[in-house]
Amino acid sequence: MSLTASEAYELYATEGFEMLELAEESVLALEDGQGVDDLNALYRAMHTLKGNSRVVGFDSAERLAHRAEDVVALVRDYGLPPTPAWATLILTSLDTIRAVITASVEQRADTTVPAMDATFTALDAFLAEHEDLVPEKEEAMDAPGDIFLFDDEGEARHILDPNFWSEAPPASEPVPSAPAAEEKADEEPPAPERNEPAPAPPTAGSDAPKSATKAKAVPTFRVSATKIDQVMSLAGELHLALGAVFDHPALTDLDADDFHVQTHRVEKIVQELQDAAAGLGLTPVVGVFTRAKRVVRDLAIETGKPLQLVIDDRGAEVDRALVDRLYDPLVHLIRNAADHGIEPPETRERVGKPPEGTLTLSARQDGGQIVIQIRDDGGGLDRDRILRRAIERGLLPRDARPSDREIDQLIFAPGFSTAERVSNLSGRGVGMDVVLSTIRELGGRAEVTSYAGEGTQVELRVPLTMAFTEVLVVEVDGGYFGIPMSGVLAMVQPDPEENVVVTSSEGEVSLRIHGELLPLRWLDGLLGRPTTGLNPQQRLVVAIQTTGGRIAVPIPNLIGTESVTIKPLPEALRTIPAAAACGVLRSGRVVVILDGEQVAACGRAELSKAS
Amino acid sequence: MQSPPPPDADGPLTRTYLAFSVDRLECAVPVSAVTEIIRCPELDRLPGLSRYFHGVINLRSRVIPVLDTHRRLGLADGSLGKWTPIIVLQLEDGPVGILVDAATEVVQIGPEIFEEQLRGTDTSASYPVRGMARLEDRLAVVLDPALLVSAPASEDGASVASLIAQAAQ
Repeated sequence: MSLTASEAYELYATEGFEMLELAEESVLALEDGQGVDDLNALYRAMHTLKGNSRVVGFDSAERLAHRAEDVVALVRDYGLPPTPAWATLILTSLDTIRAVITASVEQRADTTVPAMDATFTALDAFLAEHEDLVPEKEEAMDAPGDIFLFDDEGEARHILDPNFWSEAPPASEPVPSAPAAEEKADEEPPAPERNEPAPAPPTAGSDAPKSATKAKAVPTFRVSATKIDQVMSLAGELHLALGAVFDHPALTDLDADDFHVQTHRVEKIVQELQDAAAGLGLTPVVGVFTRAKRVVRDLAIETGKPLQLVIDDRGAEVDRALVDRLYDPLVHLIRNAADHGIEPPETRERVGKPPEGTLTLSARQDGGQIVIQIRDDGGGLDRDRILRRAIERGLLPRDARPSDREIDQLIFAPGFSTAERVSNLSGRGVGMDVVLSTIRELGGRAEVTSYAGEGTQVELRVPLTMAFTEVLVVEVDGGYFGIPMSGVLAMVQPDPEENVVVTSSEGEVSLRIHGELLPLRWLDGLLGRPTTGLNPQQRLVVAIQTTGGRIAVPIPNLIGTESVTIKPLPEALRTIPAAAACGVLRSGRVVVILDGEQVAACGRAELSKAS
Repeated sequence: MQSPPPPDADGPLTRTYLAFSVDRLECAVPVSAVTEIIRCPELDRLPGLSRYFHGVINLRSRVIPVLDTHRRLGLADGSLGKWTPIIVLQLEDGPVGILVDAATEVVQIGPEIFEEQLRGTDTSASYPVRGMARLEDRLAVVLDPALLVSAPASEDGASVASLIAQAAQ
């Protein structure tokens, strides 16, 4: 198999960025006082970067990686404790290497970037400063394959400052050498002639960085996203096609037990295939969290507030497509928490809190959803100020009397920002409303809860996978619509005694369910049809959770619940109010999936039109 | 990898069109936009759709909106039966089906026979008629597939029909 030059560069870049990410994770883990594995992983990453850059002939990247590797070696081999200054230097070097790789791949030739000189100077100065630690120049350091020499954990530990590791002794597992890294070192050819597209190094699985740091021995390899999508889509189609076969009218009167046993078995296998296919696209959510570590570190320096990040991911996994889209909202929320949530250390001490602020990122799976919480232990939201600001900005009428919960959610309103000064961190024009709209695009919702004096928590709930979703299928005027089950709280057959209809002075019609008044939203009305009756007591009603509160939706004709493969909405279907996506049911019918948020909002809009 | 569009087999001047009939009208769309012609399967209605769309179909688990071509061109509503053909067009925004009365033939049309003067009568951006072409014994309205399926801002459909009536005289 031979690669074209552009494919070789692409592979080089992909792997280079992976190595940089791995290196960054390792530096941050080291700062937290974790095991020797991280130091070895960091060293290996720098070594691989150096080797790969040499293979493609990117001299600048190679020299930078080489110099950074020497600085890593100071800590790994010569007893220098990993000081914050050292960590900062390595992190800065990684940034520069990233820039050099990006520029070189773009130009398809060795390219320098402005930051390079400064980085070299800093690296050289650091090396000079610690010159005395290195006994003599060891040329053997560069020989391919040398990385194995250091895989013996016991030996490495004994070289290091014993105090540094005392807190967290490394796990007793053998050093998990990422399989790919070994192969690479083996196969790394001697420096080829420049300008010749080199054979790309064998590729590491996309999980390789994680397995290197987390000691997972499962072999991984890289598969293109297109292939995964294809398998997922074929599994979905198989499911549909079999449904059509098994429901074929010719089979309805078939009297053959054996046949039904067999079809049942096939159905089970297809179900498992579908689940497995869906699993192909899942990736641990901890990946996004780890990327956030760097953000927190930089924020601590920028704000001058000491910060620690606690991660509690419980092994939760999300759709690979979601991971990238969750990153920006998360970073924004973290910045916001560091900037506005956590008080300056002096204030914290005054109220008896530890000077170091704590940010907690947690994730857990809840049914078909992933729940991500970003919590800070700051002072909580200033509700008076939020309310004042909301009224000033015309987001609320002057005489509004919102509940505490409603006030808290105002921070998500477009154009709302309570920042008293434009800070370097948040307040750059993108606000919390962007977070909310991104999460909504993913079919999820965001909610903020404030605890006065104790902190603020933002909870994001997003469907686990964008591929399948469980929907309640209802028929409205001949069309099939789906309501995502993730938002459905309860389904009730209204009892006229208990479920009373109440009309407020503003004309909002609500239904009482479990003692709570939920505004009614009519699907037929929403879709431009006359509402089939104003007597909800005779119909099935579902209670749906939305960001703007709970709503009650009468169901004219319930078809059932089904797990459907989500497809993007064709352009022509965008005229349908509140339509978010579409799908195909097992029966072959097309179902339009409605967004609960928009169903709630449409009703509100109608109300304000009427009044 | 995206392959470049195949070179036009008939040179730059002549293109291949699919001709079809809608009411008494002969229409044509470039063959390059057509992916297949199917017999109308079960059509799912959807309240909330623009009035120009009849509903949607599930074609091998793809969701395809189906345009009522009669209505779009301001003609009398056609009858919808089991054998009504749907021409599936592949457009930038995804596939769209158009309901027609019959797909007639594949024809070669060169630009010189477009009767562009017809264009001047309607200036709305969504006007789907590119021009008229003279087939052997009759006229065909050459339609722009993308404009045809985009919901018009104004009711320009009616003007299409009257225009064609004029032209046919």
